Amino acid sequence: MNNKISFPELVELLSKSTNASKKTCEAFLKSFFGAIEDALAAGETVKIKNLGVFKVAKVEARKSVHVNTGEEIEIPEHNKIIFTPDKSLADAVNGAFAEFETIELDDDAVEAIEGIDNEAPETPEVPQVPEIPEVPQPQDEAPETKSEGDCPTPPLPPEAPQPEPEAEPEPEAPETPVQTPAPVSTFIPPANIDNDDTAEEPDDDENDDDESRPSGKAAFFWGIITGFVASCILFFAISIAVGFPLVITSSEKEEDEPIEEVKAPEATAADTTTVAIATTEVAPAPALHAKTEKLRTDTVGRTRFLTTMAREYYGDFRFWVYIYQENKSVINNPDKIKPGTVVVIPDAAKYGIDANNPESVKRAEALSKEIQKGKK
Amino acid sequence: MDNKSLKKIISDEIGKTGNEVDLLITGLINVIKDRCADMDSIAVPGFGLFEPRKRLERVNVHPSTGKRILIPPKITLTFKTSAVMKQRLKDTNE
Repeated sequence: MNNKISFPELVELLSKSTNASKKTCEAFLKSFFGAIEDALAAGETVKIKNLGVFKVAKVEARKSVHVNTGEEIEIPEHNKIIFTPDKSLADAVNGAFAEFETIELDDDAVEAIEGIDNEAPETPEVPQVPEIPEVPQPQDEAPETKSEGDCPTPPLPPEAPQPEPEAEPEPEAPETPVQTPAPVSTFIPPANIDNDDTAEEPDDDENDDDESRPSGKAAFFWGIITGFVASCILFFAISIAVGFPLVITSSEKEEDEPIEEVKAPEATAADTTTVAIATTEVAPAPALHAKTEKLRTDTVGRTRFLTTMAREYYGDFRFWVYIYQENKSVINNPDKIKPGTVVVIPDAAKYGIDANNPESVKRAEALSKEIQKGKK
Repeated sequence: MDNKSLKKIISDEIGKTGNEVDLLITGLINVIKDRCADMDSIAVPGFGLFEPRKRLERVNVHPSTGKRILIPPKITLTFKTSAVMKQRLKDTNE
């Protein structure tokens, strides 16, 4: 098994099987392969009964890239030898797998087996027609779920629908910085975010670069971020004070507090009062609460969608509808979520989410269909 | 070049009759068959390497019916031309 047989070994094997002397065998082998070599070098095709055909084929010159330097090089025209084994030889070699036959697959089985392969070629189409992303989705999801019902293969097929949302949010990518502060303060009234969105969208859609954003706006975001950082420090100080009520720390806290509070409005007041409200709203919340909130929020990314989260948190991608419902205020169109959007992941118990319960899955599916209809 | 002329060249070269050469060729093919069926590869210096390769199963689309078909795994016998032979082909080409 997997040994490389050298020429002397081949001579020995041949002399054993034919009972000829080693000398004869060696002479024969040399002359045999020598004759083939000569014929091939002369450009002839060599046919050997029961062994196969050696053919010389011309390879056209083609361009390639040097593996190490990355330079473009041209591979010159050359000849190569093509060996086609005789059928009897090929069958003998394939003996171990001979009993397998080519099987024609029906559509359901295909999707169960290669759901990903099936879906993959469709993704590039989606960004080309961003106006009607709803069309490919129902088509894809319907057979997917069917095949799952037939044979429960949970982990793999759910990956298939992923690409659709992936492709769709991309056009709106530049939105990201607007909502980065959102993970911080999930307390921001949704109305504010909506206002920001609509204000940003027109120019964002035109120029896709984050960098091309006016510097005044960048300053605005930095303001929010510094405001948040300041409030975080404040929380930390408070939590320390609560945890270890020492005289020293509490006095420290008293010193810190006014400074931080001054900082926060400073950063934000320049731009909008809404942000100021947000930061001040964050401030009174206890640190512990903030932590638990953070645990149940997630950020939509270019490769991270509601479906991805649903699979992660609930065990089935179809429960994305509940994440959408929970975040309706932030998400206008579930097919077009801007990367960077922070969503709250609702507690599984709130909507009765249970990946192992077919009823629950069905409800989620029905809901997703309703959402699809609502958009149309 | 076909089987007959190859046989003639060999028999002239090693001074054996056509029948003996026939036996040797069959013997050689049997050796290659047995060894390659055992997943051993055979190296012939100056010529090349006969190597059985495993090919994974895959799903393909039937060209005429458009139906998807599952192609089973298989072992194929491949031939890898040696560097010496490649060079020889190149030289004669120029």
